Amino acid sequence: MGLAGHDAHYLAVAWWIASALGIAAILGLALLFRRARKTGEAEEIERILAEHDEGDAGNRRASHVSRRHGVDA
Amino acid sequence: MFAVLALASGLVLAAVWGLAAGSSSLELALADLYKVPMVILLSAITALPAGLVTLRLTNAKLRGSELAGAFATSIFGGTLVLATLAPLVAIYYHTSAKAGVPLALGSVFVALATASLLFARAVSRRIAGQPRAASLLAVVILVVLFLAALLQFVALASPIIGVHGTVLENGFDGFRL
Repeated sequence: MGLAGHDAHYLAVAWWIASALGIAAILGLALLFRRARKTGEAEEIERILAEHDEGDAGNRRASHVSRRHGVDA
Repeated sequence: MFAVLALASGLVLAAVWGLAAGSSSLELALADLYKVPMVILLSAITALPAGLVTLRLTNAKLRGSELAGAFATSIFGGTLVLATLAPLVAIYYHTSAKAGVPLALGSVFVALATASLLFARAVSRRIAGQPRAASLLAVVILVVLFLAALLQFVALASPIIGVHGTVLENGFDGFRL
């Protein structure tokens, strides 16, 4: 007799059911990780695009000023 | 993402310890490679909902995701200790009849203590300058439930340490109250 008076077969089945839940949890964590990584990549792309846009706006302002005052080419 | 990575790395480190703890036979070593991470994961899954419910009921400032993140990183810390002690466990296992099993059990208790301290510290840092009692209550409940679940999962998965098992193989019923 093992835990709580159950036989070895009962406990083995209980362990395999628990293991199946654990494997399901691992798969769930893998999905969570994939989704988080995709979200992270999307945020990174948005950040880079925003920086790029800001850079373009800055360049346009500079050329406008230089055109008006005849400074720089 | 960081929490998931920490948990996954922790499970790999736990497998390393499992390999050392079961190194008395090839069959047990291979079984422990899978059993030890599974026992830790299942205990964490069992305990986490209680911690999250405690956070909600006590209206704590700490968010659920922060608690889960701190828990995952503390599991990583604990399993890192286990993996660090794994070579010592393995060598004593094969060279000392007296110290092998106690050392393996001792490394588990050291890892549990380390993980609990890391967890409390991580949560304390995240709620710095805010009321702490509610968040720390969630930590205490999570740790107690994790230990309670761990005890029974270890019993269910036994033998893990040594072919003949240890005092923990009877779970809660093994304690004389």
